[in-house]
Amino acid sequence: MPKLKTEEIQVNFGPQHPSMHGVLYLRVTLDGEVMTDIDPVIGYLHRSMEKIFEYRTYAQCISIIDRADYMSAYFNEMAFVQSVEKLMAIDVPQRAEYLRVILMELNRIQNHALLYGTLGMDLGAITPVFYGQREREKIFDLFELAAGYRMHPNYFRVGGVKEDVPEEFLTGTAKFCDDFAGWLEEYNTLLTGNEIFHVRTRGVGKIDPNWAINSGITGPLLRASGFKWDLRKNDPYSVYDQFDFEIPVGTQGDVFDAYWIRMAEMEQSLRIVKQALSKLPDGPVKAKVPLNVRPPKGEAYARIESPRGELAVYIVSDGSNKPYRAKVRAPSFLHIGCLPDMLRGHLVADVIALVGVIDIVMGEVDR
Amino acid sequence: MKPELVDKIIGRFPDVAHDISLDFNVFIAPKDDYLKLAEFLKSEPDLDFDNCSDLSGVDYLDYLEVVCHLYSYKLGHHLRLKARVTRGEPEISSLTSLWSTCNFHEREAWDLYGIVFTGHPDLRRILSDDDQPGHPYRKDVPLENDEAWLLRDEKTSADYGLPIGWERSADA
Amino acid sequence: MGDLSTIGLIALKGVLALAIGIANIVIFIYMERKVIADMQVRFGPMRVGPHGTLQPIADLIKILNKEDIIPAAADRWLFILAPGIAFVPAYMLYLTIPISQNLMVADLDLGIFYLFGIMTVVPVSVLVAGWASHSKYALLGGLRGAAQQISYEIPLLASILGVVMLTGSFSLVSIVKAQQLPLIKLGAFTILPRWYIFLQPFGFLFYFIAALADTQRTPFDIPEAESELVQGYNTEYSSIKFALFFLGEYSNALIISALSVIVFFGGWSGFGPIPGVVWFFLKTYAFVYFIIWLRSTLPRIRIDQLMDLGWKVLLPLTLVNVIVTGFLMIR
Repeated sequence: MPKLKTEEIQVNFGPQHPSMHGVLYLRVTLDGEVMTDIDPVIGYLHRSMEKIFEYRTYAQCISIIDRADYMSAYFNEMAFVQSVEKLMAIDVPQRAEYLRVILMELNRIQNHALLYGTLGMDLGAITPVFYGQREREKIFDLFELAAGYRMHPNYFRVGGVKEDVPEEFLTGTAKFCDDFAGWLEEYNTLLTGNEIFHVRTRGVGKIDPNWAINSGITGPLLRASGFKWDLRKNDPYSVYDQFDFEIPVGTQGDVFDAYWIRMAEMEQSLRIVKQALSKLPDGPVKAKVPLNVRPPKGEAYARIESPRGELAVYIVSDGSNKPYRAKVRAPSFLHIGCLPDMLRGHLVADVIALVGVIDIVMGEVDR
Repeated sequence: MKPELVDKIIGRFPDVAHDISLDFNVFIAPKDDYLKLAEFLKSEPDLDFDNCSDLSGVDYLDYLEVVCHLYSYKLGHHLRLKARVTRGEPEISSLTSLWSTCNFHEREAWDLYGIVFTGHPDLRRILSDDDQPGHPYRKDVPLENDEAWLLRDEKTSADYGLPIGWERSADA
Repeated sequence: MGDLSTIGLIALKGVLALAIGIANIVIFIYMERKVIADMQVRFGPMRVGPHGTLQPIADLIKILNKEDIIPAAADRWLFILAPGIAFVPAYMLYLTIPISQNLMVADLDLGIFYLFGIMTVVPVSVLVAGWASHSKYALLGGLRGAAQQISYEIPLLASILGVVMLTGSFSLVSIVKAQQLPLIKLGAFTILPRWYIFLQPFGFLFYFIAALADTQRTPFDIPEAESELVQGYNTEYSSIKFALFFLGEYSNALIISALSVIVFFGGWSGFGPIPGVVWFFLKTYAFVYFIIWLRSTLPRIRIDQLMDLGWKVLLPLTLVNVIVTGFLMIR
């Protein structure tokens, strides 16, 4: 009996799509329900940020680089500012470092709460988004107290932060820390323990650690595959070596591990925030550096652990007050490059779950 | 990075220039040695650079530079590998066969700087328009377009024999 | 002459039944939005009418005002026919549901059989819609939806067979009347009536799961999975055709709730001075609330897991249920 000949069809996911995270265009070749090939097309959000950097002073660049990874703005600023501080060998005052850590960890919690909501939504659970959003609003209020803005704070400066935080920020953060454990419990009850969620996510899209290292996967995905690597512990920057926290590691690298690690990371971030609040020293919040910095000629590369992976900025300076070249190494850019190998042979519904859990933000992919 | 490892690299590849920049050892390799040096760095057990963190292009007006940051997860050291090409001869070997990270990074360097990576499986434009003439991040391209710039004559991907748009190379 | 007045009476009852059905759909739509909103810590519709009560009417007016587009490449007559195939059977079922002892349009001897027979026509509409739209998304959605619905028809019917065997009749009124007999008595006082939920608990469980899958409610709402295929088989539909699909779907969900009340929970029987009609609607809306609750909480099952559940789990289990029931009856 002759084998039934079926045709492969090509389906376009995006760039405008109810579930794609940003303007990502995936050209998927389907054989029935199974994917045989996938070709990501990016560049819809390309704003030539790095070229604009060459025409702006370092202080102006900070407000632009906020918009690269717009979900975790503080991390972008931190990578940039650290790179310049390395170049100029500036000593950042302790109070500024602690404030930076508090804000970055709050940003990490906010980011993972968003992932919780969107992953649920991709899989069909319509309620987690609202619960996650509730907590994010509280964090945004804290950001507004500190920096004046909710999403693109423009708060870090070369040598410290812009200004000291008001008292309400510290009391508000303390209150948030007390309440958060209860909310995390609610999140876990709703989605993490759900049988259908387990069936949809366990065993889907396993990642092998050696392949992950070679392909440039970093961050929670790398930890999900079983390789324990977190830049805050393995290559400490800022004041992270003074805090006591753990690194959750997965076993299989499937979607469930990547999701569960982020839930656990939220808890660890909360620990860091609490410790930082209790140890917050007094003092100046900015080193005596002019706003219009002129780094010496040279180049510097600083990398940090953002919620998505390893975020780094490579700065080449020619002695003037504008960068000669500022390149942003974005983790999501490489994760999209890994998508074809990760997704080949999976079903369409699994594609949605995997693309959701990789946590792509198109702002940093396209810059 | 330990000095004896630096000496080992220079001993093996005498044409490579060495420099120290802040906490990085910088190696500037000539075009012919670039791929061999990268293979050596990856395969040699004391060096074992298993991760290429970043690969970018930089435009110094006389030449274009490819800057590659290599890290080792197991041994904990890092270095910066550079190579130079000119606008007249922009070809250099691709490192995609060693680290898959370089796939998208090299596409970006081709798209924005015009550095042609020979041996890359699928060198297409990635961030700008598919049929864009010229390479936007080069220093002689102005930040904002004006009439004269828009009407200029530039080589496109087709002139280099590279695919445009969504067709891939024959051996992709 | 007598025939004409009988026909007139039946026609009047039919129109009334239809009107009640549509009114219930409107209440269902409003209830869904408010209940889901409440579970998501928000308010839901509040502006259109007091507390948003006129929202469904506003939605209807909006949908009817949209431009009715038929894609150029679509198969024109099939495209127009598909919503009709979805809508008409759903409303034909209203004619057979008895809401009280005396309030029904017709008490067919083949009650349940007729009901499921008509319900089986609905997957055809999904398939026709997906095919006629001439769009990849619609086709994929249509195939998935049709496969899902057809797979769950058999477990759905088989789970009710136990009840039919215990009653000895397909007629819905007889099923309810059989449930009004007492199960546990205390003198002349009935503590527990003979509701089939007590006699056929597994039958109810299977029925409920199969019914959710058949009417494409969460967690089985794959054909409408927004995050995957935009809108599934009705991607290309707009205006009144879209509205017809939606109304058909809500009507199905209401019918299965009403059916579960009639078959397993005693229909219109209750205690006290409250009339049977009220009991019937209370119980039906309790089920509707539960269905909405499931929608707001659970994620979606994947299509191949759904097929496994239907064929490898539910089908054998429902047949085992029938065999065991038969065995216990003979003994």
